[in-house]
Amino acid sequence: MSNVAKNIDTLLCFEKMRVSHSEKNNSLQVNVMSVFMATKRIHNPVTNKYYELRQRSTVNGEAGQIKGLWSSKKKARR
Amino acid sequence: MANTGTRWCIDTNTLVPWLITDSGVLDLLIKKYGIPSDFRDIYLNRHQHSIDFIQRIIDLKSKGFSDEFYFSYLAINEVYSAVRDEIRSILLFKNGTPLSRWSEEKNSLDLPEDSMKTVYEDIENKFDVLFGNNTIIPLSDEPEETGDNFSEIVASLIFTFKRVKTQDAILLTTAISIRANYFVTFDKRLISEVSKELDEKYQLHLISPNHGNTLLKKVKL
Repeated sequence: MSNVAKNIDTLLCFEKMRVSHSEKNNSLQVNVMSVFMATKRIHNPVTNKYYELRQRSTVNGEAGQIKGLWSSKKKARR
Repeated sequence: MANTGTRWCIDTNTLVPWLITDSGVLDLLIKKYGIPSDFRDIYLNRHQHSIDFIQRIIDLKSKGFSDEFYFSYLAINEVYSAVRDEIRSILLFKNGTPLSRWSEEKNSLDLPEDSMKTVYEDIENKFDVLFGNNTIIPLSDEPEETGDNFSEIVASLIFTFKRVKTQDAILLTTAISIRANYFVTFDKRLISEVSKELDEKYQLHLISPNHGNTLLKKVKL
């Protein structure tokens, strides 16, 4: 099986999971949906091209390093 | 997000002059309304630094320049209203409306229906040049999956700075959230109002397209 076919197979598998669990377990649906949402694209209808939309990410340890100019009292007490 | 080079965020007002001239939209409308070439000269003179800045990015990236240039999804969608404003300026000029009445009359003008499909297609074609090969990277405005403090920063900007508008705050916060080094804007009011504090707080430098050009001219590949 080619890599492309494997990827399609994996996506179809996720889709089946999403459908089968959508009514029984909402949280599982959200988790599986996030797999589909990982790569978002902008479609250009004139040229029929897609541009990958870069996501702001916490993967490289950036979470929590952004500080506002002020913090809420609740946060300050922690 | 990998640390490869300096990160730049570009404001809508810095991108649109390149878009409107390089796509041929400016020439199309000047020809359509028989506007004297003086108008084109005035426009180019006013926006030459922005046009040069975007063109320099395209040239440098085609040679493998590693700095990253971002344009948020909000800004991409703001392009259309910015182009509409430019077209309205052309119409006001054509109508001989005094400059003092432009802001008052601007919103009452209809766009030329027979040209707007061409304008839209010209813009979209140029989007391929900008975003097609990641020359400029479209950046999501959505929250991170694990949550973030985006809105807290937006609120702090709005509450702290009197003249910062919602769009300004969102674009600046997007730049802050990716730890951009530069935010390039044609808006001198924004630079004068927030640059000192954002530099100190987030090491985000608000600079003009002219300043951006100066920095990019020093790049040696």
